[in-house]
Amino acid sequence: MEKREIDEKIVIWLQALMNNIKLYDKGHPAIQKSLTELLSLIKPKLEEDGELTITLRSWYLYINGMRIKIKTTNFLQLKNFMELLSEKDIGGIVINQNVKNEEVLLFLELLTKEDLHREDILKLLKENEVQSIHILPLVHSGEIIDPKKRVKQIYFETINLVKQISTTENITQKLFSKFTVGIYYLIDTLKASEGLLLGLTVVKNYDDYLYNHSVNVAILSLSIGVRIGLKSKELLKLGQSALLHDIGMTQIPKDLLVKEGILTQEEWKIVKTHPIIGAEMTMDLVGLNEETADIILAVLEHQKGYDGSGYPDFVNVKPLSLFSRIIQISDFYDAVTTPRIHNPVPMSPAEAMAHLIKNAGKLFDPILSKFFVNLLGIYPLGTLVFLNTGEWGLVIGQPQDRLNIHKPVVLLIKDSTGKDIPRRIVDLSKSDLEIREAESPWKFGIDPAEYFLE
Amino acid sequence: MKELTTLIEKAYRAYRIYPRGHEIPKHFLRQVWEKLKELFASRAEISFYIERNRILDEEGNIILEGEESEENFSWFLYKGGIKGVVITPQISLYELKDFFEAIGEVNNLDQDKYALLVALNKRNFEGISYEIAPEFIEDGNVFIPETFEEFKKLKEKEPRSEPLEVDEKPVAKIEIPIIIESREVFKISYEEEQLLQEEIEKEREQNKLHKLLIYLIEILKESDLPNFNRIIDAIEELLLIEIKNKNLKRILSVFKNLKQLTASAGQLVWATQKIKRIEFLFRKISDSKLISGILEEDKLNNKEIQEFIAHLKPPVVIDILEIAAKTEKHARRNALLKGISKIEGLDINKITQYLKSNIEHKDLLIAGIELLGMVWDESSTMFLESLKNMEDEDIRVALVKALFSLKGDISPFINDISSKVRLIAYQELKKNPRKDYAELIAKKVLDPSIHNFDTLEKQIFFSLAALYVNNEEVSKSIKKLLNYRPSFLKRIFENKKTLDTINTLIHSLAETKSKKAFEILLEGVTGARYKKVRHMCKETLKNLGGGFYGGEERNR
Repeated sequence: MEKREIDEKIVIWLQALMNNIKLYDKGHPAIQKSLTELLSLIKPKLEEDGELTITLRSWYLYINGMRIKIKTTNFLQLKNFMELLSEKDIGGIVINQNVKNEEVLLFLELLTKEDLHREDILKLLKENEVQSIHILPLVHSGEIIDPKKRVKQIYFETINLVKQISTTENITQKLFSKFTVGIYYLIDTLKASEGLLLGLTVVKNYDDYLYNHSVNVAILSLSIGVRIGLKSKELLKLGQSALLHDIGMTQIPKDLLVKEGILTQEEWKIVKTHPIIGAEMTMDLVGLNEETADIILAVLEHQKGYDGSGYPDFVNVKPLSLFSRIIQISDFYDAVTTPRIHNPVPMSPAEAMAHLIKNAGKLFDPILSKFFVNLLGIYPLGTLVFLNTGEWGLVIGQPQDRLNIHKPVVLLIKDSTGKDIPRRIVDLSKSDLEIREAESPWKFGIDPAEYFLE
Repeated sequence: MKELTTLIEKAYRAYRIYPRGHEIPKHFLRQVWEKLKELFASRAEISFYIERNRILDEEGNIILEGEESEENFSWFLYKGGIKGVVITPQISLYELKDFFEAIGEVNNLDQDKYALLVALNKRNFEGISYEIAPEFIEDGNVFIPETFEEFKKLKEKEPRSEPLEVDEKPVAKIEIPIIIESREVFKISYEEEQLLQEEIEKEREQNKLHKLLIYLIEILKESDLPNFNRIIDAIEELLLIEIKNKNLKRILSVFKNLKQLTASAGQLVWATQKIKRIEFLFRKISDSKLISGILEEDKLNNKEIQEFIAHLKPPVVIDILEIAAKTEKHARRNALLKGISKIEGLDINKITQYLKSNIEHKDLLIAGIELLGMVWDESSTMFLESLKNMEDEDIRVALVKALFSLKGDISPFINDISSKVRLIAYQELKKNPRKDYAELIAKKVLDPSIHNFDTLEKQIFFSLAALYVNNEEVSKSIKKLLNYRPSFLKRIFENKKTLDTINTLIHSLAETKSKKAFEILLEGVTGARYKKVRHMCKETLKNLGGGFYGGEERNR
């Protein structure tokens, strides 16, 4: 298990143990089981680092300095835990190596009591001679923002930044720095809340698709970047490349982009110049040097296939750069799963994924394609699935176990007749339900944003 | 903790005041480092919270406080958009130094409030993380939809993505269960991981500028005029970087491409304008301030240097000539001069004018003479011949070489007062014998002064004379020398020197292995008046045996 996953599990088990404490007596097997699980996660950390610190800082939770990653499926548990600490004015918990089981149980029991605040808990810990657990005050008072709300804010702020950068004629250093800092912020958020941000990539049709699409491509590309171990400086460049990859489209005549029918060859020729125009615009924006060449190349190559197909078609400088190959995959996926004026029913995410798999090694980089499939699953977020019960569901999360990649977490939204039902989350990997078919939600008039935004 | 933040603030101030590498910031850096090591002995992490003008620890205690000025570390971080810093034991001394250096780079947060975050994020930190103040990038004008209903209000009216090409619309007829069965689609093997990591490493080491340049050149070929100018501006910028980095191979490849483009200009739309722009680029690069780094770089290949210069424009000639004059390495000097000689539109008159006005600068004049020797031009020859009376023998040496290569007159130098100059003249004539010098050589064979030459000069001169043995004048002179009466020789010269001269002549003749030389030597065996000469001829012929041209004759 990865360090981050362990940290996340610690919080989940803390939360589970507190719930059990509320429900059962101390000797109950459910409490013992969750305590054992929790300690099995905590002990190695205590041995390694000497202590375990859980810190709440604004809307992030840290364990021994490492920020906890929030997945879509369990962000609620994390959020609840953070809110609990915040309500009690607790900014941190420090657990020493010599901690005893009883001390943990007592501390969590005190934590679950609604009327107790930090000062009271401290006093009671002292009275009960608990010396291995220490609590720290909340340094930043004020509201603990709902992670989902924060992620949503970052998502729309980034869209706004791309829009500003793409449409402002004379870009000031300040605006460009803001754009750059916006990307750090996006990366930062992605590292902490990948699941939530990925969920937002199913949000389509913002007032101007282009910028929405660019942010989606950036989130998907950065997620791959993080998974393949790119360094923070490289992630920044990848983020810049992805956000700017379609900037050339802003210079393509609007009537071509909104044309409902099929484009003529001449019209296509014009549309196909956008990577070159984009590269020129990017040059003006980021400058031209060894550091920025990666970014410009990615903008230039994002429509080229792994096998050299695609455009610009008059030049082939193999191999495509790494950023280009990553962005090409993300761009393809987001583009084909998005409804357009000329294509109101796009491919379903699962279909897009199947196409990606089928063409891995031809149109798409074979190894990066695998990373992409691992990232989104074969039933990616936002896929409309029909279950063996006839119920309709939207995929909202991926299973922990990769072997169950075909059994995602689903939000049930309609019954077999297509009537709305009270929404219910089902983890298919832990259920008998099975997917019979996968479709594009748009085909059935469903906008997944309805479920991912709220 | 208070001690730590005090030390950090001292280091912060030092890094902002003193230049990189100064001892004072280094001193504080070491102190911070020691303190961190001490603290990490009992802690898993160290965190600070930044407030306007103070820093708090995990428990909310104030551990640093100051005024709202950039003297105060907390104010600086606050202004730079950082609200929290976490340091973990993964930190290294190098990373800590990098952190302070990033801070030292930030000059004015009033001008660019994001400068600190940009400077920090240019680096890869393992043991330091910082939290950006969210309000720092928030834009009050952005509408964040809280509900789906609110979001719907934002829905697009005019989609602006690239349309999907209908012909190429991907069709996915894959049965998803089949994919699941195979499992290979999401299983990343160890080998694949390794392969990807190798690719990433390769990418990190690769210089992308060249790849971009190749793209730009191709795009240039396809571009209309306005675009052409934009692209060539970019190429120019990239070339300047490559020149600065001395990547000669890449520069040459771009040069060649641009030249090809110019050559095929007839097919281009707006050909004249495009050619003009390319020419302008070459003129811009033809600036010694830009290119001297390349010309003076020892590691670069001389042939490539020569090729590089050949692409430049004439205004840079004098500057390169001056560099060549100072270059001691013969091969590099030669490459520089050869390169100049190949520059299109080279103006010889300008060079000769320049040399005339710098005639007292010996090194420059010699380099200029060498250069003129490489360019076939009437005015070059005239100018070089006008210098034949220069006092300095090195200049005359250069003149002999230059004039000879231009087929100019080097006869004055065959009888130069300096043996160095004479030797060079003989050597040049030996390399490329010319009939019009036969008479001069014939005369010189009988010139009494040759008996006073040192052995080397005698050897070189007679080996030259022997090359002309088929010439009637020369062979006559040689025969005459071999047939002098002993009394005559003794009267004029010291006997020893004369015999030495004749001996050298005989050997030089033998070395030519020509029929004529054999005949002369044979004649000497029987006909020479001086006994010792007859003996020398005989011995030489004997020693040569069958290897001599005459050997064949004799065997027959």
